[in-house]
Amino acid sequence: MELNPHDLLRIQGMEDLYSGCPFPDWVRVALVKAPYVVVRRAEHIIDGVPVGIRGAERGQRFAAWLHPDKILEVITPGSLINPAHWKIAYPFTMPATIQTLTLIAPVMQMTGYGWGPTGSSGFELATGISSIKDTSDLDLVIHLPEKITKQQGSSLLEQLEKLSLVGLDIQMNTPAGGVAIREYILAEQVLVKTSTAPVLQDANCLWS
Amino acid sequence: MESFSFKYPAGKKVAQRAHVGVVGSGDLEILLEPGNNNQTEFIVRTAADGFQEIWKAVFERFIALNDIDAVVTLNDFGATPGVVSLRLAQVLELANKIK
Repeated sequence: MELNPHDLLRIQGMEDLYSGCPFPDWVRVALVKAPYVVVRRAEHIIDGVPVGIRGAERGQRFAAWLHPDKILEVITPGSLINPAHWKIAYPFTMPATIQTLTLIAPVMQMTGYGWGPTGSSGFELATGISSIKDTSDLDLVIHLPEKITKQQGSSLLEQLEKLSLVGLDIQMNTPAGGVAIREYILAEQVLVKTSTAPVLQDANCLWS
Repeated sequence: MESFSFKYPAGKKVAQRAHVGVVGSGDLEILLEPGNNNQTEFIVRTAADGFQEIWKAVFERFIALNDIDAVVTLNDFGATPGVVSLRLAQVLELANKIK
């Protein structure tokens, strides 16, 4: 089974995880409330998928490892484009990030790229657990195995921003690693989140 | 959301102001401006509360090698210490780049 960073995994609970550091108390609380972890960008080891746990607070992130046999369900960002896969209904008011997701979906679908929501919006849609805050941006990942030019990136971002009700935080998943589209458009040197560490790299070398 | 600042005595001059980074989860923006107070002042605004000691450790490591007379403003969205160190190195390089 191929897992990508940002995929959400449903598990039994904290007993399925291991870590070199002691688990903070909030991790247990978070996993009882929502037994889901997110695949981190790190080397997969034998018998270990790198995962992260998100707590209710912004600073609450914890890295751990998960035994692959313990995965009960995989929810990819791409699957969350389809409202039929959402585990939450919004009969009255839809959060602004989710409204934005539905507004930009047609434009994103036209590009032909693989994409989907991550962060608090992805988590809320995938788990049904309320996670989006009033201040939340909409986080997206776009899979880009082939190069897009800065011009293409900038025109796509401009189109999306015209439709958005909230800030957009878009990570490009390139062969080199994860890069913020906003930085790719502007900077010569960009921060690349690779599976071993964050590195600074020439923006022109992400696909070579 | 938390704001705080740290000051360290310093003397090296930087050539110009520089800006790096982006507003986005796991990242930060840094603005470096040349100072004239013989100190490095780091002004932090962070989305993640409760990590002042870690910030201090990152700054002290940076200052040990780069005691620059500058005001460094950091607008953080939950970057890891590794990302903060890389961005500091990047902004310093740009601030000293000969145009």
